[in-house]
Order: sequence, then structure tokens, then C-alpha cells
Amino acid sequence: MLHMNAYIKVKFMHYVTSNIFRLLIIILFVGCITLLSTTTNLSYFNFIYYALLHPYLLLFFFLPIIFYSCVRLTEDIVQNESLMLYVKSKKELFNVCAGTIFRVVNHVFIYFIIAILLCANLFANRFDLFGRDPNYNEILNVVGLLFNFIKLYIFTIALSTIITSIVISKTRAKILYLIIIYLSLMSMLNYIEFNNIFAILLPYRYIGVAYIFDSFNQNLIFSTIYIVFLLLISILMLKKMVSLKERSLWSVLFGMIFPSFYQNTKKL
Amino acid sequence: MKDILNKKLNVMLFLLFFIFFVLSLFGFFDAVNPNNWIESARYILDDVSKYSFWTYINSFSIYAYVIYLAPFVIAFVGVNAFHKMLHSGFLFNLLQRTYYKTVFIREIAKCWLTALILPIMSVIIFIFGAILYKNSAIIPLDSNNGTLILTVKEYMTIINPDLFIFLHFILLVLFGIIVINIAIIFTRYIKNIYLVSLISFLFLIFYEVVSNTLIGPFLANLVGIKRLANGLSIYNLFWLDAIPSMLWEFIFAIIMILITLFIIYIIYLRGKRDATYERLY
Repeated sequence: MLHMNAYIKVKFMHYVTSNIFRLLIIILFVGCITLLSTTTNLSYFNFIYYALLHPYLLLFFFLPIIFYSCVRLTEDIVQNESLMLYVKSKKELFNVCAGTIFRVVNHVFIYFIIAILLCANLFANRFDLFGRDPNYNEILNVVGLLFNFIKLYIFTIALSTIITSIVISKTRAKILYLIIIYLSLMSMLNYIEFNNIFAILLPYRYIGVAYIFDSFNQNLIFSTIYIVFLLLISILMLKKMVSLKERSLWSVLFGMIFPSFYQNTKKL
Repeated sequence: MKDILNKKLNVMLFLLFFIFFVLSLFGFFDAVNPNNWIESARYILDDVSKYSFWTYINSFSIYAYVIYLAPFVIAFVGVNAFHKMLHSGFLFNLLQRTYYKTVFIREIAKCWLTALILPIMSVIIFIFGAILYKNSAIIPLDSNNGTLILTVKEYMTIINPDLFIFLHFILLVLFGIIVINIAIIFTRYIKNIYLVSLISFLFLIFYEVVSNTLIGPFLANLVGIKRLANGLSIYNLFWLDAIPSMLWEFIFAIIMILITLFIIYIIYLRGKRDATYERLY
């Protein structure tokens, strides 16, 4: 395991210092400045809220960069056959993949926050002091913003885990998973344009304060539970999908519900 | 085997777009009367023209937002078989029996078949509207209670609307070909199909940002053509929103295809003889 950790660290550092990663971070900064430079009427506080939930910023710049980085790194590690000889169990392989995703998301998320704070300092209206939601007091608005950060972080980890588990798994019918991701990403666009019944179940609504109940606390707790539930599903999926053996899609899904029927899936 | 897989993926992609169209249809009826969809369908039957219906679905509904993520999926589905052939060593087996250039031109032409899915969906929407609504007026509609305002596309009022839909069909084909060409270029360097589709999508978004914010306004001031920033957008081939002219869109799309084809020629075909498969890697 020590050998694996060292390898992952070196691989990660190589990737972070590579030109392609620098280019991607430049694209992220350009995207932030392009999409947020026209918004000059919001206060500093509101601006950060707005930027964290900007659907086009997340959909076009932030999430694709994280997906690309996660997939590339985990793919490099899993495809390395000489390294895979050292892997003793499925749990170890799961730890490797999850650790890589965690590192990448941490790294890009910090750059994203730096970009947002930079844009907020440049473009926010300093004479305006209103909180985001006038129905709640300042403390609740600050709590909402903090939870917003945390939920976006968890949401990013969950989606990138799902994407990575699809890519590195050896199951067939991958287009079904693509459709699921397509739907979850489409919800970002639906959130601003359509507040109809089709968009209610999709996850993007729950990164922010989902206005389902009248109470702020109920909304906060419910949306957090939804995002954490998504994370648990994604971890379960990665756990089941990480394998060096080829299996069908239905055996994986059925095995997630009734693990005892598929004892052989526990092996590598 | 690869053809079957490609076919299956194409069918799945078509079904995905169709599901979004059905959702948009519910949204369309929902916009007039949220309580009773069937009643609302009867109510607007005489008022809505088939062109207004087509414009609503293509511009304001959930289906209109399909196009944001369409390059990601079109690139994945279009290049899947080609990528598999190139990186699995199957090409080496093929080259013992046929010529290098013949194989490449044939395979790239097969990839372009995926570009037909989005235009076919557009035609299906139009046929659906034509069956449902007999009215063929191009006057914008404002419903009585003010909840629904339908307009037609700008160029539908200038040229024949049926001709406009035909031109839109061709423009969508060109849009798909541009996306697939970009994915083919990245296929040469990246060995994972998911990374190919992701990086094509990122490249397209980056191009949109640069062209709309830097190149477009600069050229518009330099040349004097109005709305040039929208004219340089690849995404706008679908919406056709505030374009310089229809002719410009065709010229732009063809120029983009020629540029991408030239890059494909350089990285795949230039200087490659028939037995130089090894030199490719």
C-alpha cells in the first residue's frame, strides 16, 4: 500500500505540473471572468452565492475540468498492469481510486474558489450590503453560504466518482450511465429556466437552498441529506464497479441490491 | 461488431433526444393551462401555427437545452467505433487487405452518420407540429390570458419558412460534422474515448468564449459586419439567434469543416503511405 501511495503522489504531482493542467486552469479562470464580469450589481456576499451556483460556470468549465482530471489520472493508474500486480484486494483498489478523486477535487476546488474570490473583488458592488435572501437574517445567510460550499464540494465528488466508476469499470452498456449523468447535468440548466415537476428530482436544485419547505432549517437539512445520499450512492457504485473482471451491467446493479447472490463479485 | 455497437449507440442517442422532446411537449401544454393538458391542447389547436410550435420546441423548451450537452454525446457516439479501430490494433489487420487512405476515408464517413440524428429530430418535431396544427401562419401568437407568447424565428419571416427549416436541417448536419471532426482530431492523441468526448466539449466551449468575447467584437469593428460575434459561434448553428445572414452561417460552417478536415489530413494522412501504419504511433 505504501508503494501505491507513493506512486499516486508522484503521478498526481506530475499531472498538476503538466502543461495540460495549467491550460485547463487558465480556461477555468477565463470562464469565470467571462461569465461573471457582466454582473456588477450584486453585493460581495451575493456575488459569491451567485458564482457558486452559476449553472453555465459549473457545467461548461468547473465540472468538465474535474471530470477530465479524475478520469485521466485514475485511468493511468488502473491501466498500469505492472502496478496492478501489487494490488491485493478490491478494497485497496477502491482506496486508490477514491484517493485520486479526492486529491483532484480538492486541488481544482481551491483554484475555483480563488477565481470566484478574484472576480468578486473585481466586479462586486461594494456599496451594496444586502444578503442573498431578504427573508432570512444575516446569520442564516452566512450559514447557507457555508453549507453551499460544502454541498457543492460533496456534489462534485459524487459526480466525479460516478463518472470515474463508469470509465474504469469493465461493464457493458455504458451509455445508460451516460444518460443518467446527462440528466443530472441537464438539471443545472433546467433550474434557472423551468421550475416544473421534471426538475424537482434532479440534484442541482439541492446544491443551493432548495425552496421546498417554508422553514430555512428544513430546506437546509433536506437538501444536505439529498446530496449526502447522492454521495453514498456514488461510493457504493465505485465500490461495486472497481474490478478487473468483466461483468454485465445487470449483475452489478442486482449485486448492489442483493450482494449475497453475487459472492464472486467480491473477488477481483 | 463495431458497426453494431455504433448502431446501438446511435439508437440510444436518438431515444435520448426523443425523451427530451416528449418532456418539452408536456411543458408546451403545461405553459398554457397547467391544470388540464388535454383541454389546453384543444384550446390552442386553432391558434398555434406549426412554425410557432417548432420554434417553441427548438428555442424555449427543455429540448432547446439539449444542444448545450449535445457535443459531448455526439462526439462520444460518433467517434466510438473509429476510436476502437484505431487504438485496438484492428486497423493493422485491415491494412493487410486494403489501402490506408481508403480505410480512413470510409471510417470518417461512417462517423459522420451520427451527425444526422439531431437534424432528423428537428424534422420529426416539424412533422409532429404539422400533424397537430393545421394553421401555417407565421404571425407571432399571444394567448388570451397572457401566459404564452410564441414567436417564430427571425429568418422565417424573411424567407419561406419551409425553406428555412430545410436550411436549418443542413446547418445541423454541418454542426454535427464539425463536432465529430474535432473529436476525430483528439482521437489521434488520446487513448480513452471518455477523455476524447470531454476534451472536445471543453475545446468547443473554449472556442465559443474566445470567438464571442474577443475575435467576434474585434472583427465586427474592423470589418463593419453587424452581429459578427454571433456569426462566429458554432452553437448558434442550432439556435440561429441574431445571425448576420443565413448565407454567412453556411459559409462559416463550411470554413470550419474545411479547417478541421485540413487538420485531420495533416495528422492522419499526409506523408503516410499504405504500409506505414507503424509510423502513425
